[in-house]
Amino acid sequence: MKKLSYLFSVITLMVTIVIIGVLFTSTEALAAQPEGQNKTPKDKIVFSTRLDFTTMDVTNTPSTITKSVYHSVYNTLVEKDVATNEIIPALAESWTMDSPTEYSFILRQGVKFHDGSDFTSADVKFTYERALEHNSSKSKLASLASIELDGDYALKIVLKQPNMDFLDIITDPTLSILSKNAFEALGDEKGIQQGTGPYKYKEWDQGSYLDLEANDEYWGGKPATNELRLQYISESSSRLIAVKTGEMDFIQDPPLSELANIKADSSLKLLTYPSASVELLFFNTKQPPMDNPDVRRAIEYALNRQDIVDGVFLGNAIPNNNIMHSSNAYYSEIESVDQDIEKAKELLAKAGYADGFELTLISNSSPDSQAICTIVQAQLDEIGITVKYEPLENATHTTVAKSGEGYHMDSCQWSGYAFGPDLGIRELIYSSGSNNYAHYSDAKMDQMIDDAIKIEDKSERIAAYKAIEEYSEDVMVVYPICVKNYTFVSGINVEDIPQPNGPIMNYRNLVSYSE
Amino acid sequence: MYRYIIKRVLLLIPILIAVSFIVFFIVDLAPGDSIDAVFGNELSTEDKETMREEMGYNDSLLVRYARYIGNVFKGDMGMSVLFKKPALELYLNRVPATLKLAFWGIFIALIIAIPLGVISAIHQNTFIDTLSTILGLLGMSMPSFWFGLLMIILFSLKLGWLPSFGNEGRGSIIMPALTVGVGQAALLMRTTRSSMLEVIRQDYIRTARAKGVKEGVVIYKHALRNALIPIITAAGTQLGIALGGTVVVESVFAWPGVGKLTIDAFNARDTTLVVGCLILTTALSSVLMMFIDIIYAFVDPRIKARYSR
Repeated sequence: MKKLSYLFSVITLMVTIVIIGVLFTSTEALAAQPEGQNKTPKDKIVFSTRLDFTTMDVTNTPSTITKSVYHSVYNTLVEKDVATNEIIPALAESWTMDSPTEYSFILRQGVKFHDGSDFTSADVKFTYERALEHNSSKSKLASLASIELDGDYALKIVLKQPNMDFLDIITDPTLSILSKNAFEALGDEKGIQQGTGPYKYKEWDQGSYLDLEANDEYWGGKPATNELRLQYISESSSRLIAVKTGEMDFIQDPPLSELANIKADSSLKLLTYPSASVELLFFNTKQPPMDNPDVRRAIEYALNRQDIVDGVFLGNAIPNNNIMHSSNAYYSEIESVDQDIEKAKELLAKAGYADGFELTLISNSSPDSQAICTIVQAQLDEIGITVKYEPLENATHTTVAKSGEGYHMDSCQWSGYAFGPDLGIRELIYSSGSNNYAHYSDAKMDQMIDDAIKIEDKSERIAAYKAIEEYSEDVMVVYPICVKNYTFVSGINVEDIPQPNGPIMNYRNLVSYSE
Repeated sequence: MYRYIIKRVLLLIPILIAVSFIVFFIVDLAPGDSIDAVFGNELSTEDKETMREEMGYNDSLLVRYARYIGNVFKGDMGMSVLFKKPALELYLNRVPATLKLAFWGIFIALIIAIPLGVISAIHQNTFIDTLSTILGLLGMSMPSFWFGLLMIILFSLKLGWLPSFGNEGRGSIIMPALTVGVGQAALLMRTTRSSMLEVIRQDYIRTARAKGVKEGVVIYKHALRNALIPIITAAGTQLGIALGGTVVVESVFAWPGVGKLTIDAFNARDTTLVVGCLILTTALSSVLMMFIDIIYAFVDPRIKARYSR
């Protein structure tokens, strides 16, 4: 009996030994791996992000990771070159703008869908008409009036009114071209899975992984890697360990606190690109005293973007003093004010709040927003403004922010700039904009936005948006803070991951080498 | 016995209806809905309104609930807004992984807890008892995500023995099950100890010893068997909790279980999926509790006699 007792004591001690063993062993020694001499491309690449692939229903999702997968499985009519911000051919070989409301496209010939059916102009018409039937996608094509087919490989798209962002909008992967024949022959569920892209769906274990396999018939040439696996790992520390163990070729969004260690680790590569969203603070103009421009300006003088970038993002973000995203083709450098506490106090006194006042700041449940709000709280405290901070769950946040009731300021992210400048600006500060959480209504601003979308000449259009950006800085209803970086960590044998196009990651040309 | 089982199964129906109504009501209390949560700013206000109208979100709570329950009785648990798939299919896909983790977890917990609890009880107030109490406290207070990550660092990163994530391959269950098991073992060990302490002071144990029965037989046959009822109850409760999903463990090990599905559904305010997950988890746990009750009968003949009456 006594022997048994000791045996069991030893077994249970194992738990403790595991803990102690880990705590007292250095991770550095094991992390380093030798670099191979002769490299051959691996057959399969495994990667992970914090988000899960949600649906194969192309027209029906806002999920960025899901759209990124569509970018590999399907093609849109045209695409955007991330480096030059220019629209480039995809399934449309060429196009012309016949008038501000008419576009003619010549389509690529010899392209096949994954089910073997041919790609023709009928598929484009079918896809766009299907998108117009779905509530979740119809607003994207709101300006489309009609599609006229001119044989199998040419078509004309007529718009209801000029929209110089039209080509940008149709680069959205949720407007990827679907096969009319596949829908008829295979039914909706299978039909929607047939794209023309470099990868095909292979297997989806919802909540776990999605496997894609190379499309040997891809019109742009077979991709270098035969198989891709997108693994869902929601926990950032677990993702990082998986890339360190070599089970993952690359991951997105490691824990920010680990960035310094990753940089120092010779077996890992860290890549950062500007993300799609701008961190913003809205002043709710429906709620006094936020309707007073001096109060808003005073708060602008009290805030400091660099402190937020350093404190919240540990430097992994770019300060952005413009409501326009810095990587948008229509972004211009504009003047804004630097932190000046004295000036802020002066403006507050002028507005009649020399002793400060109390305001309510809300945010969604994003940890970034919550950290931003804590810093804003401290910065505004310096000019005598007491901030009552209320973090809200996402759906609650949207409802409260839309109502304009019960808050003075709101912190959230805005990522509407991926498909042209208009949507981003319009939804944000146009009087009927869906994301106009400042509840700002200004006929001059609305007119400027309505005019800018119709300007054909690119440099004139850039100037028009610069005027909007400057006017927004003047009225100060939205305080732009920064653009957070997307962060990728890969093993040293993985070729650099291409820059994302806004929120859309490019998984088409991934290459990893084995030793 | 059969009558008892039928009674228990019938009792499930009002329980599930009550659970579904409470969940429906609570999810409805918070502002915002799945269309706001899933589509955020992607859709215009008008488009969202049209969707709400089409999906019947604008009807009153009772109308929506009655429609939902009506469909459930027809075998349709609704479509998830987030995943665009039937809620039942999504849930059933995750059940095997959850069952695997829950049963392996409780198995490990019992292997650790019963011997340690017995030893602590028979060596009450000795060094071994103190040591197992400390280990028990450690297991109970140690956050499972922390213990899980430590194991990943040791067994995956340093030793390279086990996969660090997922539910594929032979070794993938070991670390998640250990994480679940160690956390549960602590409570079970304390239950075993106190239950054993009560039993070994009974007269019949003294009688057995006086008759010269071997100590091992006294402890494991006479004492432990009589001490098992509270242990089975505690183990059943723990298993029930694990069946609802061990969200933290599922997140750390990227384990595709129902817990993570339920949380993802909650975050997306996907009412259909949330209610579906909770109803099915309640059903699963209730069936399990029924089995536990039946096990009592096998362990304790007195209970079996009562059922038979």
